[in-house]
Amino acid sequence: MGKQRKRFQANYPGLILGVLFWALVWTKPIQAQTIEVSPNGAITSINEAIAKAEPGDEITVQPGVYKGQVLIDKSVKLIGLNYPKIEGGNIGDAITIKADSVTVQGFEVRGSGRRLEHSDAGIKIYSKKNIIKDNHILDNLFGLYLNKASQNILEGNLIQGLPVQKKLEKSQADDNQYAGLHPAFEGDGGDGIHLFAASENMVINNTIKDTRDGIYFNYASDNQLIGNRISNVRYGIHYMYSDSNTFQENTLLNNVAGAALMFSKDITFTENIFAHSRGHRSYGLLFATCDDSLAEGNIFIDNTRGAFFDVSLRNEFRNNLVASNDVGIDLISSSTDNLFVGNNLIDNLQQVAMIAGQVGDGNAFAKDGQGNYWNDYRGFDLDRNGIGDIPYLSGDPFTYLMKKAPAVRLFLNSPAATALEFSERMFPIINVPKVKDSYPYVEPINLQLPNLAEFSVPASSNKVLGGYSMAMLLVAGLIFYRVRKQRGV
Amino acid sequence: MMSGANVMVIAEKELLESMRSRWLVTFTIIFGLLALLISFFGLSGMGVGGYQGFNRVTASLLNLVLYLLPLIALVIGSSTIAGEKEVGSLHVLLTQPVSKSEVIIGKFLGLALALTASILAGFGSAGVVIAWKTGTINIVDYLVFVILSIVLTLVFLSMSLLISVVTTRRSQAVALAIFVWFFTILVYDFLAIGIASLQQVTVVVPLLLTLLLLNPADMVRVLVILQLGGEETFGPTLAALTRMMGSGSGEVLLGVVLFLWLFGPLGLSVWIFSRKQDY
Repeated sequence: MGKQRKRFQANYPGLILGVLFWALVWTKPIQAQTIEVSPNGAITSINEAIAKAEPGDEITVQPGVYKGQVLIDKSVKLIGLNYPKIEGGNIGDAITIKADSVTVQGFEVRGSGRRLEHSDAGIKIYSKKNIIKDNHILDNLFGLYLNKASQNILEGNLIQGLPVQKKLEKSQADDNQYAGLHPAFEGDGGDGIHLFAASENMVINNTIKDTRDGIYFNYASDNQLIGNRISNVRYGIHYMYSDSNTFQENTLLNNVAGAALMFSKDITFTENIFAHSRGHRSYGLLFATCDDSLAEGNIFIDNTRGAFFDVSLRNEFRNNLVASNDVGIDLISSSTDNLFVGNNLIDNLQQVAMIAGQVGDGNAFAKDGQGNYWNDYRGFDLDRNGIGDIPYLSGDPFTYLMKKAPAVRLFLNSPAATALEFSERMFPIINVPKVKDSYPYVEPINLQLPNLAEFSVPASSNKVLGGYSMAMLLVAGLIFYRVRKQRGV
Repeated sequence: MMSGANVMVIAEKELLESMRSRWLVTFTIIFGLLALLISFFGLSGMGVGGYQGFNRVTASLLNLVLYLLPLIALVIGSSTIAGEKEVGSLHVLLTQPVSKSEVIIGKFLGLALALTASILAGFGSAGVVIAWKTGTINIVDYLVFVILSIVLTLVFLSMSLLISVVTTRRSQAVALAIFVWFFTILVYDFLAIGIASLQQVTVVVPLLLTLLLLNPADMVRVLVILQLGGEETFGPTLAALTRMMGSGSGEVLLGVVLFLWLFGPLGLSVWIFSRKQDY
């Protein structure tokens, strides 16, 4: 019995193969055909190939330069071999997609028009369920523009904008001494990816540099954004009136703001890295009129302000690492009912800043007996439950003075500032508004965080620093040695 | 008029004596230990994948430098001539064929060398610890920090020689030195914070610049933070000031003023010492 069964099993894959073979043979007459385009072949233009194609056909494009705009109005697969160039000729859109279920893969797309009012783009999509994959989209006004287009997949593209360099510096060029809260820089370029009223799209593993905004969501809801890397733009991610979006494992570096969430709600963002947003009006994460959102497991490192809250309600900020920023969390009292819990706040010059000098109604830094870890907490934990026995209170008279008169900031880290801090701890008679965390952790919380490997300095600098230090010791030693020798003589 | 050989002889004698006095040895050990402890324990508390900007370790090292280095420079420097006046050895020294300016310059050089050696030893050992533990400090930043610390020490040494020249007894000199330390490091900043709290920014910025230039300790502190943390650290209100300090003309201005602070008191003490006969 057992033997028989075994034999049957052995035959099973063969049976399936046989069935598949016959299925293939039967379906052959209606199978999609492949049309080849090459600069010196039978078909030299992509538009010509599309005209000849039936829906479902695949068009392979050999390397070469293809001038002129491309309009895709049939469900075809457009596959570029070794990045053929499509040059739009600096008018309108380089590629326009109007049919559903189109694939565009492996092209270098250049030369859209420059008219912001027509939103000229490298690839403009008006339809559903398209796949835009592994393209190099360079020197266009907008990289990808989704106009009321849903359920598309944008994956692995490299988008590089017009070479408007140094946006951070530009954002400060018009600085005066009364710098406002938000970056003034508007930019003359377009966005890397712009979604207008486009929902349920997946944006995965794209690299975006030097555009105006990285990815701009305008009335675009229910989109997913995973693993993108955005640098040197104004806002890395910009949500405007765009609800219910998810945003995870992205890396945002050297932007005016890593992500700006404006007039939106229900945004979930997890395990992203916001780093090196430095400038007088720069932010890792900017909440402006953004409600009911969740930030979890993100890293905010080396920003002028880590996370900034302005007129934003009921957001949850949990299990994030906020480290080495000038201001860790900047909370304007117009923001209320936000919850900050389970975060590690480490080595920020100012852990929490409150511009108006008050905490704002309903903002909480602890919930259900759990707070955050603050590296400047100076309490104790006698019952050894990992939670400090006295509340953490942020701020001291010096930070309070800094809020009242920003010019005082010049005396940052001066012995006088330290003395003020110390005196306040010894004699708490000055009533300074403070953030209170009743259940502060005494040890950093073990968080699930993205890999920070790229932030660690290469090991070679270890040796250089060691070398310099040894040289210092050597010089000191020589001086001391000389004196000893003299003493001996 | 001034002989380099004479200056060197006095410098070596001063170097030798400062080593013997145990003051310097004690200071070197304390400074080195504190720098070591700060870098060791400061770094071990980090859980941030080793990333470091301007943070607790550098901030604590900066505070250590601001407190300790001016103090020790003032104490060692102020007691040198005043102490020799008190015990009478200065009289003996001046019977030798050396000029008074050679004595001052020689003493300054000798003490400067001794203090520089101590500071290098302290920072060197701290640097070794940082390199061993993480190595994530920016090397240029660290070197600038060390150089500025040495400049700060030399400025206060120069002031201390002036104190030493105008006083007659060691205790008097040390008392005055400690007063100067207390004033420049603590009281001055309190007053300046009061002034900075004035609301009119247009008035405050030039005023703050003047206040900074008048106190070398503040100048060095601001320069270190600018180097380590960047101008954003001081916020947008002070952008005009910090940007000015980072620009070419600002750097020249700061350089010139630090130079004046370094050699002004020294020159003044040479001048006073040459005219006085109080030993």
